[in-house]
This record gives sequence, structure tokens and C-alpha cells, in this order.
Amino acid sequence: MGEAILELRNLKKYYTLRKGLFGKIIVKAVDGVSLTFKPGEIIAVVGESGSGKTTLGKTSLKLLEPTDGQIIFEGRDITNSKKDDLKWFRKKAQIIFQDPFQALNPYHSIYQILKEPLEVHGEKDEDIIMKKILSVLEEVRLVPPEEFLHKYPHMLSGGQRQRIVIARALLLDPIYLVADEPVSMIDASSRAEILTLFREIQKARKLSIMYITHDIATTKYFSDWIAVMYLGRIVEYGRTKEVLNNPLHPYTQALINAVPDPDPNNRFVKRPVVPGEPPSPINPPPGCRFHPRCPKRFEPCDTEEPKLIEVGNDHYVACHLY
Amino acid sequence: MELQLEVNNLYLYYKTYKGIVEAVDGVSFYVPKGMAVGVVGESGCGKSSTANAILRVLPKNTYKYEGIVKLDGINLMDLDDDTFNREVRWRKISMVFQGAMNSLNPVLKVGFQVAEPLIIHQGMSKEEAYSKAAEMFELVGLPTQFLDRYPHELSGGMRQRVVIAMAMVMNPKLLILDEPTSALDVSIQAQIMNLLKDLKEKYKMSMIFITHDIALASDISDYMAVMYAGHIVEFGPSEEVLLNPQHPYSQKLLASIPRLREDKEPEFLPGTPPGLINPPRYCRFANRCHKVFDRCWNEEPQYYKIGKEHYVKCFLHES
Amino acid sequence: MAFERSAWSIFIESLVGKAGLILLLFMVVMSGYVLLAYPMDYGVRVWNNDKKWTDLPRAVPPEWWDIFDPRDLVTHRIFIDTKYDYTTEIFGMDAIVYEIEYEHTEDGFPTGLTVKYANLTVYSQFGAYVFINITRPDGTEINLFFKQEPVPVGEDISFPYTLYPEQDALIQVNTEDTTIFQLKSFLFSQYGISLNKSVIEAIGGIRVIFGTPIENENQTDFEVLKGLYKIKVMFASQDLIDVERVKVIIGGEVYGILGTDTRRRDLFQGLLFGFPIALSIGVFTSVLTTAIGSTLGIVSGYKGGKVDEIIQRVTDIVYNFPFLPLLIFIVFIISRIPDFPRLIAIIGAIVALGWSGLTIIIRSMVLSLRESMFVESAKAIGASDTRIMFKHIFPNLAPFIFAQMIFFTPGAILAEAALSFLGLGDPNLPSWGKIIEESFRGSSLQLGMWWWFLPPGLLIMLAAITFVFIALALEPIVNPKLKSR
Repeated sequence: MGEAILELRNLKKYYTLRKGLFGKIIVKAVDGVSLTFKPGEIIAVVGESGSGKTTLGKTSLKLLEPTDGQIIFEGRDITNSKKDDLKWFRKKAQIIFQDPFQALNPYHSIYQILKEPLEVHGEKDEDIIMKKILSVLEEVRLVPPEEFLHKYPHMLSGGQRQRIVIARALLLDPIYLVADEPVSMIDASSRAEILTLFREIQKARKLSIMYITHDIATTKYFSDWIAVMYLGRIVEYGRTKEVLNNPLHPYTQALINAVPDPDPNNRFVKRPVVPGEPPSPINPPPGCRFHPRCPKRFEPCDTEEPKLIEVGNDHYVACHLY
Repeated sequence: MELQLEVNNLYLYYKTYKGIVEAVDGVSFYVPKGMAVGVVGESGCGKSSTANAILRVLPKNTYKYEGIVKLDGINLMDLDDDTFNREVRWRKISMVFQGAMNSLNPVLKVGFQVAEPLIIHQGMSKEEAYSKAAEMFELVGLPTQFLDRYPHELSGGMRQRVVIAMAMVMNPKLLILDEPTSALDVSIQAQIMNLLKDLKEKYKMSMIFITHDIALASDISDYMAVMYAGHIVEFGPSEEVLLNPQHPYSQKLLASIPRLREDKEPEFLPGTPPGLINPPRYCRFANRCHKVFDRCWNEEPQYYKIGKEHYVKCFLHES
Repeated sequence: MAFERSAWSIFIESLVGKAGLILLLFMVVMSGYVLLAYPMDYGVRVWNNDKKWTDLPRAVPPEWWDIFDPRDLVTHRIFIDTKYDYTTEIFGMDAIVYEIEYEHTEDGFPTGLTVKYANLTVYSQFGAYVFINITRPDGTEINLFFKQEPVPVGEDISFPYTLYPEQDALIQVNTEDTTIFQLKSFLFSQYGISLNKSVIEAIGGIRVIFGTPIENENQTDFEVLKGLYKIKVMFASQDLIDVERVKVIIGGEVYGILGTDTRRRDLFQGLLFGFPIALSIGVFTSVLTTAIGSTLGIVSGYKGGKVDEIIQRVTDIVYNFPFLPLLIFIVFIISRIPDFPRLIAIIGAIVALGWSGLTIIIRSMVLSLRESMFVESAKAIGASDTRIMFKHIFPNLAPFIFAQMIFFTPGAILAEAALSFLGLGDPNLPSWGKIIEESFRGSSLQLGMWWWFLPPGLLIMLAAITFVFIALALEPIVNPKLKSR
């Protein structure tokens, strides 16, 4: 089972924007999120734009400074650690971004891109560097690895680039990885390939992953737990199978309904949609944040905020219906 | 069954410093009136180029442009550029381009951008054009107050509705949409798809829906055209293509989609499609095909008819 | 690398790119030639040294101007003799004679008659006499000039003694007093014309030497006498005598590829020297300016906070200085400091005033680049700020910076030319700006000495255009790449 690798306790990230000469707006991007990552487990954080999922991922890595709450990594409280004290952390915790076109510096060769993390962390031996690079290229199935060293990002396909991004994250042998929409910019038909590969690597290395996505369909094959986020808060949490088969929160239900499977009958039916737009975190509605769009809202929803409660079987939901 | 659009042996090649890109290489399909055809394929298979070819949006380095494109029985290729511009483009056929929601002019009000083609092409007065624009806004589910807003004041989903309104403003018979929901959140995507379903039903719009996501295409398409490396490898009613795909690529494509409602583990298809510069002169799918045999490496298969309306480009179905 | 090749082919396809490249090649070749063929201190040793130019005519247009002028213009002739042609006796002394012959075919008069000699070796206190004498096509002979070359007295004088060892003796025959006197008697004895010395001087001795008088109402005018002329330079002494070299210069109305200025300097040489000067000042200045401007822009844009604020304020102030007036002012002040190397002052001033524009642009580019994903990835890996700035951000800006550098070069060239034109340039460097300045001071415009002010002006323009063309051809390469990323 193992100890938790990473614990996020009531993590908050607020941004302060200046409005006019003296006014201030507080954007509550992440507003009290608690998650625990055990070794070898993937937690999918699902949400739309404005949900705060990307902010959560970056804050968990201290790429953004948390406003409140705690980040405990391998038992050490790193919430307030300064940049210079975190080099050890940077080796063990990495991030993969969604846009393979932007995540690689177009002016660096693949060799230079993969060499960088090793160089930054003090590896000077050219042989060791080369060995590690070749080994990680094989791990992401870019073979023969030597052929890729001298290429530049624009010479590779989207899928290949994303594999380089993954390879780069693996070089320092991290134990925790944030994967921010790793396949959303790749064709639907290639997503399975990358995710399957990624799953294999994850299993082999016993990585803990925060898998951030807006596409709930992929969570079925690539996560152990799902946390559904809305406006900075988790509204539902549970094992993947459980949440997908038995979604409790109206928002989760809407997200599932919104995703089509390839079925010719789809065109005859209009999907049940949640009206309106995903709101901006600048002015969250009072009470339950989802209530203006919720098809099942009733009395307490516009005044009281529901708490996250366990509804049995490691399944949590924050909704007045329960 | 009446056909709104008939495309026969359409070719579009571009000349680049690296060579000639055979983007659209002898493509044939049709769009029955009031129906939607989904054109599905990976990036770079030529689906956007096919749309450009139909709408005659040709770049300066066009090398070959020929074929037959019949709209209501009239071959559009016979028309000269001026006539095409005046009478066909935007009036009979219009298009929502990929990423259009992000290419709205940021310094003009959205109402004006919808009204403008009416003022310029149809010589309408400002009042008339604006009232038509307001009509369009209602059609796509936008409040008419939004006519005076600027693009940055609207969310992604709203901007996409504006773009659809712009495409519909001259009541075209055929609407081509290229990845209209790729940058949107899933819930907004569902809203837009519902809107398209509405338009199709109420106004009997014919549509071509281009996407890389076959599941999304199934949400609106009556017919499916599966594209691979510049060719349409399978075309037919959605029921047949989705439930009983005949081309090995279509089969693999469908198998690779993660499904929420079924317990099928997605398979994946290793390898990449051939480039469009000097593509193979034999079956382009040969190197990745699980049913490949000798002939596939020597010739290009023809388009074989295997059902009332079902066509496949594969030697397995030579009849 | 695929995109470098396509960048090159875009460049080379454009007309301006081809033109710019050809011009640049031309400038580089010329500069290379100059650097190889001429010494570094050319400016001081030769250009500003009047003694080196005495063989050339003063302020004449180029030789090819002859094609355009309806008159047949007189060619500039220099005759050099190192061995005497024969000996003779003059006034009881033995003399060695250097004789030259030349055919005058042109319609105009020569501009001067000069005799130079070097290393006149005498063997006794007696010294030597020099006689210059001309036989004209019509058979007449004029004894133009004579002088005595005495030997200086002193204990350290030993014989044989050489006069004019370093610098030639120079006799501007047609303006010498002696000659004018001789011409006066010649005119009287040959033609019966009586003219005052001052009148002859006003008419110009040269016209008398090389012409025949024609009566023209009350004035005496002279018409060119075409034909064979023999000029004899004779050295006579009671003792032995030796001369190493004698030069007879018949001044022409034209000279060389680009003519001469009022100090008799060959403008072609001077302008040639301008190539490496323009190129090096232009390129060096813009490299320095670009380096400073882009470094500050990158640091300011990436670091943010206080560092950014400080750099931004300083940049704003410098940016708002009026470039040219301040440049002139600074160089003027520095020129007052004795012994301060002027060239360094000029380059320093241009760089000090020019870097700010680039900083502002680079800073805004960096602001957007620093949000890109590959920068975030690098941060996630733990890369230091310095590493990110120079290994990640800089390469993305490099093509743009390079293009800016090229674009700044014509500005630098023009600034230096302007400074030189105002007299603030380095006095020892024959830069094009300096030559224009001298031509203006020498009233070239009023006197119509187009060959003195036009070529340097055109060359400055050419140098500037070279870089402008290259920068223009680079534009489509530089811009879309930034947009697409």
C-alpha cells in the first residue's frame, strides 16, 4: 500500500487583480482542495475551463505559490519552501503539458531537450547522459532512439512530440507527475495509443499521477480515482468505475452526458445539456456554486454551500441532494 | 433521394518547396438534401483541403485543381471565379473554418461582422442587414443585445455561435463546418451540437461536418466519409460505417476510440499515415493494415460499391 | 535544418535579398582589398600628408569625364627619368640633360608644369645649377627657368653631398617669378607683344608656354599650340654631378578614376578607404548596440519586479533623447578632451544612444515568451533563470535580433557620416563623411566640383541601402515565425 507520496490539504490559490486605481478583485482559482496521492495511483481531476484544475496541478508542484493550505510531499511540508530549497523536489515531481507544439523549445534539438533536466541537476558525465536519454526514448517507444537525437521538434508528429515531453519528464525518475491534458491536442484516434503507453510506463515505475482532463471518457482507461472539479472545489470524488457508473453530482452527470460514443443513433437525440457557460472564478455564485445551472436545484442550493460527504464506498459528493 | 452536393474525382494539389502536396487525391462523395455528412480522419489526411476545394478557397501555390462539384445539379467547376464569388460562396455554400471563433476581428462589434456580408454582397441597407443579423442571433440562441458586443466580451461558445450566425446569414443550402467544437469545453460542445441538430431539422440544412473525432461526428452525421492520406476510403450511411465498418482503417479507427458506455478496451493503431508529398502509388494503408495481402502493395484499389449506398476503397471488396 | 533552408530560400528568392547580397559582397570585397593593400596608418601617413600628392593635378574631374566634355580634355602626364639622356655645356659648365618629349593633341591648356628631382648629389662646395628649357612645336624655344642649388656650409658637411634625399625638390615652373620674367621677354622677342608681369600672371604663365597669342581687340588671348614639345631639365656644375630621378609633370584637366580634390588627393584612393571604415563602423556599432539592447530587454522582461522597473525607467529616458542632436553634442564635448581617440568616442556615443529601442521591443517579446510552455517546463525541471534566459528565450529571439542588427547598420553608417560631415569625425580617417565635409569646405558645390561631393554621397547611400535591402528581405522570415509560435 505505502505511505502517501503527496498530500494536498485544503489547498487554496487565490489571485489578486487590480481593478481601477484602488479596487481589488480576488480570483479564487482553487478554493480548498484536499487530495492524497498514494504510490502508483492515478487521480483524474476532471473539469472544464474555470474549474481551476490546471491551477491545482501547478500549485501542487509549487510552480505557483499556494495562498493557503498545505502541501506535504514525502512527509515534508513544502508549502512555504523557497525556490532554492526545492531542487530535490524538482527531481521527484514533474509536469507534462498539453500542447506538444509549445512544450518543446523549437530551437533545441531532441538531444538538447532531453539533456537539459540532467544537466540542470548536475549530471556531467556525457556517457551517463547519453545512456539515460537513449533508455528513456526506448521507454516511450521512439525507436531507434539514435535517430531522434538530432531532430528538431517541428520534424516530429504531434504524437511523437508528446512522447518526447513524457520522456523528458521521466528522465529524473520522478515519483509524482502532473499530466495536464496530455492528449487533448492529439487526434482522437491516437489518444488511446499515448494513454496506453503512458499507463504502462506508470505501472512499471509506480508513478503517482494527477491526470488533468476535460474529457471524462479517457479517465476510464487512465485513472484509478476521479475528482470532479467545479469553480475551484471538488464536487465529487471516488473510484473511477464507481463515479462513471454511478455519477451522483448533477454536474458529473452532465459531463458524462456530453461525451458521445460513436453511435449512429446519437444524431436523432438532443443531449441533455447544462445551460449557460462555465462561470469565471471571479464572482462565484452564492450557496452551491453550481446552482444557477443545475437542473435539480431546490431550496438550500442558493444559500448554503454543500459539504463533501462520503456516500459510501469511498465515494464522496458535495450536493444537497445527499 | 435528391442530392444537394455531388463531388466526383476532386483533386487539389499544392506546390511547396519540398514538392507537390497531393492533399485531395480523387475524392468522391455526396451530400443528400437536408442531411449531414461527417468527414472523419487524422490530422493531415486532407479533410480541410477537401472543404477548401469545394468552396474554391485556393492558395497561391495551387498546382492542380480539377474534378466535378455539383450543387443542385450544376457543376460549380464550370463557373468562373467572379460568378462563383458572387453567387455561390457564402450564398449557396458557406463554411465555418477551423478556429474561426478566434479569428473574429477584435476591433469590430460582432453584430457588424455578421451584417457586413449582407451590406457588401447583397447591397442591403444597414437597417435591413442588422435586422437580419438579429434574426440570425436568435436562430443560434444568442440574445440580441449581444449585437453590440466585441468578441473579447463573449465566451468561446458564444463566439462560435456568432461564427455560425455569420455563415448562415445569407441562408446557404450547404454548411461546411471544420472542427467547430475543438476548442470548446465538453458541455459547450454539447450545446453547439444541439444547435446544429436544430438547424438541420428546422431548416433542412445540408451539412458537411469535418472532424478528427468520429464519436463527435456520429452526433450529427447521417453519412460518414472516412478519409485517409488524401483519399476517402469508406463512405456510406452512418449505421453501416459505424456499426459495420468494412475498410480496415475504419475498423481500427473505431476500435481506438475510448468508449464511456461500453467496456471495450481501446486498441491502438501503431505507425503514422504516409505524407502527402509523393505518396505511395499502391494502397496507402498497406503498411499499417492488419488485412494486407500482396496486391495491396502493387496497385491502388478502386472505389467499390458494396451496398446500396456503401463504398469502400479496398481490394478485399472487389466485386 | 529544415527551417533554415526554407529561410534561406525565401531570402534568396526576393529581389531585394539578391540585390542586398550582391551589394554586401561588393562592399566586403572592396574592404578586403583595402585592408590587404594599404597600411593601417594610411590616414595619417598618406591621406593627410600633402607632400604625397604633389604629382597630381589640383581639383580635377575623373579621366572618363573626357567623354562627356565636348572639348578634348588634357590628360595628366607624369614623366619620370632616372638616367640622363645626354650631356652638354652651358655657360662653361658640364651639364647633364634630362629630356622628355610629348605630343600635345588636346584642345585645352595643361593646368601646370612641374619639375621635381630627388637625390641631387654634388661633389664640391660649388653646388649645381638647374636650367629648364622647352622647345615648342613651332620651333621656338623658351628658357623657362634657372636656379642655383647651393650647398649648405658647415663642418659636418662632407662630399659627395646629396641634396633632396627625402623630399623631392619641387619647381612649379609656370608660376615661378623667374619664369614669368622669361616669358615676358619671350613674348616681346618672339611676337613683339609687350605685357606686364602682372598681366602675364593673370593670364597664366601656362598659356604662354603652351600657346600662341591671338590678337583680340584690346586683349591678348592665347590659343593652344598643338604638337610635339620637348622639355629639357639640365643640371650643370663645375664639378661632377648626379641626379637620381627627375619628374616632369604636365598638369592635366582630368585625372584618375574619380578625380582629385583641392589638396591634389586622388579621390579614388580616399573613397576606397571608406569601404572598410563604413563597414566596420556600421557593423561594429550595430553589433554592440544590439548586444546591449537585447540583453537588457531579456533580463528586464524575464526577471520582472524591481530589476524590470529600473531597466525600464532608464530605457525610457534614453529612448526619448533626440538621437542626432544629442549625438552631435556628446561627440562635440568629447572632442574637446585632448588626445581622446575620436573613433571610440563616435562609436561609444552611437551605441550609448541607440540601444534603448531594441530593449523595449525585446522586453515585450520576452513577456509573452516567458509564459510559453517550454519555459514552464524548464522551470519545472528546476532550471535557473540565467539558463532559461539564454538557452531558451534567446534562441527564440535570435532571428529577430539578427534582423534588427542588420537594420541598425545603415543608421550607424549615416550617423558617422553625419558626424564627420559636421567636422566632428576622426580627422585621420578618410571616411566618406569626412570627404563630403572637406568638399563642402572647399566650396565644391559652388564650384561645380561634382566628383568631389557626389561619389561619397552615393557611396554612403549604397552602404545604407545594402543593409536596408538585406533587412527587408529578412522580414518575411523573421515575422511569421514569431506569429506562428
